[in-house]
Amino acid sequence: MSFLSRRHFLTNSLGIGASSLAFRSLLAEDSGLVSPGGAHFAPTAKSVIFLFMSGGPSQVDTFDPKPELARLAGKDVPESLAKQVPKIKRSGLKNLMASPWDFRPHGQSGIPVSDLLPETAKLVDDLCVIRSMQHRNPVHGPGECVAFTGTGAGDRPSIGAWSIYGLGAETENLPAFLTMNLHTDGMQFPQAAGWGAGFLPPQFQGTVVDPSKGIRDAEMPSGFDDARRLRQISAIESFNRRHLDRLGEHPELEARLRSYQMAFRLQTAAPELFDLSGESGVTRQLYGLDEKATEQTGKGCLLARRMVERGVRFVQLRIGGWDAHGNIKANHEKLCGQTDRPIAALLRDLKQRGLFESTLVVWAGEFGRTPTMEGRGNGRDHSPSGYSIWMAGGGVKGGQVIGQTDPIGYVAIDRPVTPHDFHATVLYALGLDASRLTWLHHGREELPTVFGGKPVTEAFG
Amino acid sequence: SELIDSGWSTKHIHRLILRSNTFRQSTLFSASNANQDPDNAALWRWPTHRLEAEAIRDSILAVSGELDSTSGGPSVPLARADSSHRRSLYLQQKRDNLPHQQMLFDSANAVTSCARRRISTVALQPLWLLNSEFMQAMSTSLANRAKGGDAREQAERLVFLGLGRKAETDERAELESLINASSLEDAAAVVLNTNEFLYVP
Repeated sequence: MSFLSRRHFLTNSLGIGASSLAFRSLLAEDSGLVSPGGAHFAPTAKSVIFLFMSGGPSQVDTFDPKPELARLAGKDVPESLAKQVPKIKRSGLKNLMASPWDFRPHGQSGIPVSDLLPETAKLVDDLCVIRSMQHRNPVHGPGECVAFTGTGAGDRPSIGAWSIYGLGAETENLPAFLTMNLHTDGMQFPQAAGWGAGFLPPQFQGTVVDPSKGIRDAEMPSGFDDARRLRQISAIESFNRRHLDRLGEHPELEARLRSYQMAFRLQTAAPELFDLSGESGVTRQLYGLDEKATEQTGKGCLLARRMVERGVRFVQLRIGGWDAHGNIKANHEKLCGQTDRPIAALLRDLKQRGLFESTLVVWAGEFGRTPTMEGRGNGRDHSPSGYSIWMAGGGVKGGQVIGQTDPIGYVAIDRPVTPHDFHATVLYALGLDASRLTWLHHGREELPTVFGGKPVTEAFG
Repeated sequence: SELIDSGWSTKHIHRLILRSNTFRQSTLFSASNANQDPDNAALWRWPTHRLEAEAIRDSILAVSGELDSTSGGPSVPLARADSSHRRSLYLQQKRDNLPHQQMLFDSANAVTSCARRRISTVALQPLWLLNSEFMQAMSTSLANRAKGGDAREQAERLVFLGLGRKAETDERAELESLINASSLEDAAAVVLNTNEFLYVP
């Protein structure tokens, strides 16, 4: 990974040919750790935690209060508003449904949050809520690909991969990009593109880890100790060095030599990361580890903090189940019951440990939900035309709302923000200018925002 | 037009390519060539390249004597992929959940067409090659094939079976001392982890 990112940095950014002596001598000194100063300007965040709410939380029931919905309940979308609703499949225009929950203003900023999220609401002064997210894909799989990669096909690099490529850095002992998939119920199977590298070199992809099992194959078989394993690694290295001597220079083979050293360190670093026994009772309580409803998500959030603490740069936590086509009351109460407390705990914990300022936390789904009822089941269908996300930490100016939707919460009408804009914003926090983060692919200078997208700089005050 | 002139014989094209001096280049490094053409754009050396994911798994099975060469029939379902000894070709390709080893070693993503396989070098690969149940089982099987006689003979056999050649003196000595210090299985695992095993040539 270091070889390729360094090579690319040197050849693309500085114009030094790969043949130059300067480049080769740098390679020779390379210890595997690379920070080629990939940032374009001073970052406000060192790490990102992307809390992905798979299924699509409903905006009008969480962060986008719409009193009009209560007044118009049971009626169809008024003509004046209906004509603004994009002609996307599933954008039902009949039978508006009021939110089953009340909204209350919170904190000093007075930002209204639904009663579904009491713990998150207490921290609203740290949140920048964006109510005007918008795109055109109402289907889970492609919609999720849009959320992570910008387009629905799932062939482009994920925002995590772009970030790691741009940062060009890696911890000594752990992969730079880790992802966890929790509560993968229902039809929304995690899309591999969400942590994939697309056309970027594969080393920028995220590594999926199971909170209860850790990194796959990181533990040595029983009967092994470090000494026994090191004897093997030493023998492998001798064979490889002789092989290299016969062939002459070969950067890839040299990189492979180093990968064994890193693998050895991973064997210790990975179990340590996942061992929660050292966490205090207070911490366990904060995240709700000992309660059935919050146990899984609590574990995921706690691990996210531990990962960031140990230098992991991009953490994704995917929590499934928000797809409330029917009985939204039961669905969102369940999901918020699982996630509200652990997520609030994560924010508090990051603060306590002095990590909040340098960690960008994002909460978002692949789309929102229709203000209209779907069928007769008291639920809402998918809607990408206007939905809410929030960001916190990592330089974000909290206690503000950006953008708004129409009076019934259907369409973003003010300051629309696309997923491309969102990706540019994440990169911006990391000190990266998306328009300058290039990768030559198929004869085209690819960018994360090749289809457009500009950072929402107002989020950073 | 070579193809057309030969009467559309692909065999003719294959012979032309395989018999060419370029195709028969050795991999040996040359400092003077490297200075002129460091990226090997003119193919002055055979570009050493890693086996594809499927070939890695199949080769490991083959040298361990475990390859089930049954051909045809239904694919191996994902749930049984880890324990199957059939050729990788027969593993079910579920697009959103490809076999782990396959993805680990840069298989196609099953979403877009893949003109050229990537080659990544990540620390998770040695972890799989050293710690996975599959590799533990294969190391044991390879060790069983190399059994008999003393450590010296076993070391010779391991190199012959795994790398297809006679061991150099220092290689044999290295494996010998590993067999004595650890086990024949550990030495078998080493052979399966070498660059020489995973790369061509």
